[in-house]
Amino acid sequence: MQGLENVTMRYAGNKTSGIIYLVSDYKDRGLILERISKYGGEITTLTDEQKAEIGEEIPDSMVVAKFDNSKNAYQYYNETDAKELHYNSDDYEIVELFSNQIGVYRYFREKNRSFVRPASIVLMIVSAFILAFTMAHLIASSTKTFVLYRSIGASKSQLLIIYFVYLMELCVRAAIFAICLGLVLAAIMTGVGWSYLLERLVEAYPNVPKFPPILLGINWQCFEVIVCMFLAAPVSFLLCLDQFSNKKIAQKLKGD
Amino acid sequence: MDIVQLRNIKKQYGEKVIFQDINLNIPAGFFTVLRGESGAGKSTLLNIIGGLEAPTSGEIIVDSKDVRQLSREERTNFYRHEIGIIFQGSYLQPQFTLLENITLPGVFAGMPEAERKQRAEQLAEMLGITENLNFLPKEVSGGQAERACIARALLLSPKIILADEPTSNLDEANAKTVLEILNYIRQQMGITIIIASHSRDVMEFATQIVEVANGAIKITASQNQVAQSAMPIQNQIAQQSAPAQNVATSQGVVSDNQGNL
Repeated sequence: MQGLENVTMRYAGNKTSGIIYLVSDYKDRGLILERISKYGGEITTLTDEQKAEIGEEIPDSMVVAKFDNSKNAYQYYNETDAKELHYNSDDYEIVELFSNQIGVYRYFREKNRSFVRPASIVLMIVSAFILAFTMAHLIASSTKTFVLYRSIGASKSQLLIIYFVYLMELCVRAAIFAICLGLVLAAIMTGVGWSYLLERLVEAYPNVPKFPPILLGINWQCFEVIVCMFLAAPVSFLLCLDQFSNKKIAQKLKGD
Repeated sequence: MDIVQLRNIKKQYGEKVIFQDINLNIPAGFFTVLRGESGAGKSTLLNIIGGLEAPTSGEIIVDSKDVRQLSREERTNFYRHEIGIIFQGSYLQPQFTLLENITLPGVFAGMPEAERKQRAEQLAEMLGITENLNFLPKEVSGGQAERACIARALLLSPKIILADEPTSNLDEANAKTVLEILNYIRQQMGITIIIASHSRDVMEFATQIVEVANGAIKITASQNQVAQSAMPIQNQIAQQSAPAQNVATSQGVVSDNQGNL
């Protein structure tokens, strides 16, 4: 998802050389100026050529600002400071001109929030639990090693440390595997959707020089996956904590 | 002096009674063999002596300590300094070299690296595996792996060695060598050896044979056998008029005849 978002942003950014134009309308003009300044924007006037491209007149009550930093532009657009600055976000209108960077961003964000995010959270939790149970099972099945370490003088705390480190190692492997799997899936999606995506992007941004729609990208979800995999270690550790009791060790010894 | 005393030991799994009211004394320095059919309870008895398995009831006194009453710390020290265990099938950690496997108890016990390496090398020399110390377990023979297990069990100088079928996966020659080594250790270092085995070869080294069957035990070794088997190995060799510069086994030299490591 991040790769597609990146590609689209790149196309959108090209149209205006990366500059984002936002026109704002609110009853308090002073507040508009204050917010534009706060987010690093610059008040500007449109050239005749730009006005012609829009095809309609912009009233004087509205303020046109340009942002050369897309992150700041998104923050300005998203009106997350409504409480802080005491204004009603429903009455504060902002429209993006020329490019569609924020529109595309919002589109992906909404898609992400409504489908991808919940699905990924469920998948991450499920995979973390599968991993945790698998690791707990691995520990429970390493009978002889367990008994051997205890019988040659490993203390309980040494056993716990050994297995915790072992679990962490498994987690690192699982996280590397998850990242590699993500890369493979993104590569497959790039291969499958290459021509279709290119066609749609060129259609939406006709003046932009073509560049390949590679869908590989890194976002915070990658780190969430890694964190999730690592959280599986303490969970599995708790699941198999009873394996370290004398009674369980004796049972294992008997069952081996 | 009895180094191991089992008093009224009862062991059952659910409804199945394995032992009923077992009493056994094992004197220090003995070579005791627990004999019996598969499933008779030899390994269970060995595990009970080693504190790895708790009896349903009864007392286990090892070197004047009640094993069941040991605190967590005392139990760890018990495993470190009282007993050395040799598991069935030469169980070594496959990712470690023989040297690393042998020194593992020293790592857990906090023994300085140089000291544990020196001790491991001494034991390896005694057991004839010096050349194999840097090999992985899969790169050595079964007999060499078994000797590494013995060295590991000896690293922290325990008072008792417990061995569960130590010769079960070895050919006849290697099995004999391993048993000779264990007997040599008993005679020269005064370590009590307790073996669970159904092999007939073990019996010639035994000073005490404990038959395990039908939930009971029976001690069958005669005093003559005990006397002969307990005789220092140098004397036995002298009796056979063999030159004894070194104590030799069928697989090679294990040490000088003074028992020096």
